[in-house]
Amino acid sequence: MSTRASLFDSAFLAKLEQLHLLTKRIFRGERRAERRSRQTGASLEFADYREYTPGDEPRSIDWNAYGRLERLFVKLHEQEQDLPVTFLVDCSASMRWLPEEKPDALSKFDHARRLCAALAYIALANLDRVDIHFFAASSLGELGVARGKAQFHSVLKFLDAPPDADGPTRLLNAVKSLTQRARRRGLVFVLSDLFDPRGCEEPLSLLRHSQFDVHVLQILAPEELAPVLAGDLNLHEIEDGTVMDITANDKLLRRYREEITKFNDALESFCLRRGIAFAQVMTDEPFENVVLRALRDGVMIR
Amino acid sequence: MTWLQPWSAWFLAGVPVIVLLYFLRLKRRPLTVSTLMFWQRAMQESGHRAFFQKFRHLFSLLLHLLIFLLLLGALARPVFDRGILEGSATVLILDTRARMQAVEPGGHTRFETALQLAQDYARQAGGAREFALLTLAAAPTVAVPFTGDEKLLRSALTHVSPTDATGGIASAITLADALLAARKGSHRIVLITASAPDAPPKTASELITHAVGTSLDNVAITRFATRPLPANPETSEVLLETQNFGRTPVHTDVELAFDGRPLEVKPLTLAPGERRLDVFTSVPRPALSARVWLTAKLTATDALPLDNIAYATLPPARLNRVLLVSKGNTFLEKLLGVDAAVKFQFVTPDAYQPVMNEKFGAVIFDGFVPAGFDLEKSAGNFLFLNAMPFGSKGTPIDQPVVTDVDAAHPATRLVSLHNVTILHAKPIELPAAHDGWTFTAPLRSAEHPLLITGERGRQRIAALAFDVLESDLPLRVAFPLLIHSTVQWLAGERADSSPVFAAGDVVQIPPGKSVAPTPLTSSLVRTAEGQTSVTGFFQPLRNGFYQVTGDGPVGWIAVNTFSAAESDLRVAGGSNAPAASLPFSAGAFHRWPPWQWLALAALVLIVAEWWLFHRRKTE
Repeated sequence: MSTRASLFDSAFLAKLEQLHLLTKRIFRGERRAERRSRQTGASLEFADYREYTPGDEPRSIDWNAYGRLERLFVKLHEQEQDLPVTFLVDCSASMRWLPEEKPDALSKFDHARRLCAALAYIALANLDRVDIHFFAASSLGELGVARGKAQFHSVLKFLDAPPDADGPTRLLNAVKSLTQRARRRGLVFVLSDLFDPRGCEEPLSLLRHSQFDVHVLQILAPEELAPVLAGDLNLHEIEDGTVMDITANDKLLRRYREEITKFNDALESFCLRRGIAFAQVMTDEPFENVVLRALRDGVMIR
Repeated sequence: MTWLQPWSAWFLAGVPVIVLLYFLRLKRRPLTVSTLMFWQRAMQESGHRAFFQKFRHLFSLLLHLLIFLLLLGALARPVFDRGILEGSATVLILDTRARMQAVEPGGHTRFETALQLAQDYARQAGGAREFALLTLAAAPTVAVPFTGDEKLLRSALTHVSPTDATGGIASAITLADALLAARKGSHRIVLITASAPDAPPKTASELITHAVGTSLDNVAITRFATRPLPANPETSEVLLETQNFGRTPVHTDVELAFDGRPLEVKPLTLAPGERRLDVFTSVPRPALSARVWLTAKLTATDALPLDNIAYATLPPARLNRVLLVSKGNTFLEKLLGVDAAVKFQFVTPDAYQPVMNEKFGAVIFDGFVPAGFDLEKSAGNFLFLNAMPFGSKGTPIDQPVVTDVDAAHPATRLVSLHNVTILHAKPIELPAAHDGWTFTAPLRSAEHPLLITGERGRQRIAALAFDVLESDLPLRVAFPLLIHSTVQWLAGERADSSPVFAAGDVVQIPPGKSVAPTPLTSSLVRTAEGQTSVTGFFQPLRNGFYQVTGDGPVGWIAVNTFSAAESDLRVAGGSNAPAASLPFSAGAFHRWPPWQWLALAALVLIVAEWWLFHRRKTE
């Protein structure tokens, strides 16, 4: 476990401040606490169309558009309010995994916490309400609602003391817990490697069904995308201890790369279809770049 | 199929070890990963390969065992029986004559180069390529009969050493051809010598000649002999022949040494190609008990050191056995008794038997002629005192005066007989030469001979015409000199050279004697004790002194090379070609022996296994 001195040191905090200034310059015209929301029906000002998904208010369906296109679209209206921003941070064993040759590097979990801290800082600076949930096989801890930059200290303290969890990733359990307890719908960031054997489509659909704007940040290590292995190996999965014998050769490694690429492509395609912002984050990428890309691609701030 | 090295089957015990090591090697390296999802999917896609994967371990093990067995097969040196019967036969002739000891400019002797070449050939020996080894010294000798055993050949070669002998190369080639005539398959004679023979004998086999020598300058002693000087029995003379086989003049000293002690040093200058004779006179003869070594050494440094030193034996002083037949002669008995060079025996005329003559070098008849003595038939050397085997005419000569003394005659040399008073002398006449006999009168009184000497071949006779007891001769110094010189002359010592043998000559050792087979060349080594002696016939191959022991005093045999053919190194060699690769048989049905094919197959499999291993096809 990284300490605050190493994970959230002064250099990191300085970067957050620069990042905040940068986001302000990029998203010029922003008003404090007057964030425009996509929640339908909250305002009369038309904002956009979006494909209908189960759970949407039937009253917001644009029947004229249906008459022309024979597809269901809902009208989006802007609403100015503070935005609840929730972070689902995966702390399963796979997120804490480190390549054998880089035992001292930052894990995916460390990167997830840094990203979470950065995004939370920006949200708090915009007077949005921030909540953070750790999850693995189930939801493991919650920060509680924080608002204003003054609460950033408690955010860091929470991120710096994650629960000990070595279990598997079960996103559905965490999403169910969130949807049941959330009183207001808002923005949800999912920071995970999404290596859930049961699939991530169902929990992400549930979030969308529950009226959340979902942003998925898939965090991967380069060694997972393109492992450099050779010889006869006895593989141990870190989450459930399953073992598997392989003989790593060029063909097997190529097939592995094809499989993980297929998995990621399918996930991205699913998110695109469901209006879920998706970004893949590599652990060797500077986190400030990732934050800006997430803000820009995921349209966190408009 | 014949296995030349069946002992390699012991290595089959390594098979279980390989299997054990293989299973130990199968332990996989553990590795922790974040998820197995994608590995499982990737492996499912290649599920159709699972069947092969199950057998991949077994395939790897079988491949390794096959490589091991192929290597074992190669080590066992299998040979097809057909290859043995119809393989090639080669006779390797290694020249070990004296010329092979010449030092080439590179510092190696010709023999060392030849031996290396022979070793290279021996490495090609095998079941289908048999070799016989002939060494050539004075005569060719079969060192190793036909064999395909490379180790045996190479071991035999390590025991071959150069000799100081000379000999003809044609006999070796002829012998090799005769050996090959009884063999099947292809035949070859490989001749490794200093220079290619000018006209080798015609052979039915292919002759491959390796000439390892280059043209070199050399100076040599080509003759060294000693002989006693009959005119001076205490000394001997020495003949030394030296020759310059070079293209430049040579200035050198020749050192003459007796048993290691320097006798004389003489400077020599030899023009290119010059042959020079030197005679050393007045070389003292050693005592009977002394070692009779005489060596001559050239101080010049050249390509062949062995012919710069020569060995000879000096003739020792002889001990003559003399028989005195007399009724009593005090002067004569005393004189013979004190003469160190004489061992005499006294008998009265009654006890004398003619058969005694054979045992003595000289017989002195004092006033007595044996009954029935016939000069023509009697064997031996005789001195008659006051008795004439020739007969006499006339009346005795009263008080003859010595008028003529032949100072050149060995009997009267250095003897002063003037003013000797003689009471009577027999009136004898100098016999005419007849039946091979020649007579002289070295002592005369005017026309009357006082001493007659005769010689026929090795037989000698002398007769003194007066009774020494009727003269004052026994009271004079001349008397012992006259008797000593006459006895020495009669005893038959000839001016024959001491025997000198050439290396490679066959020497017959007299019965009762034996010779030490290793020569001595240093005066510091006094005796050849400890060597196993040889009796009968003996062939010395190295120069030096060979000790002869047995009945009587210790004798020595001097052996030298003394061969212009060996010392003349100007004839350049042929080529320095490396050992040729010999085929196995006349046919082309298998150029390589089976073990090489097996080794090649093992190598191919090793490369294939390496390739498969790095592509994860094998374990």
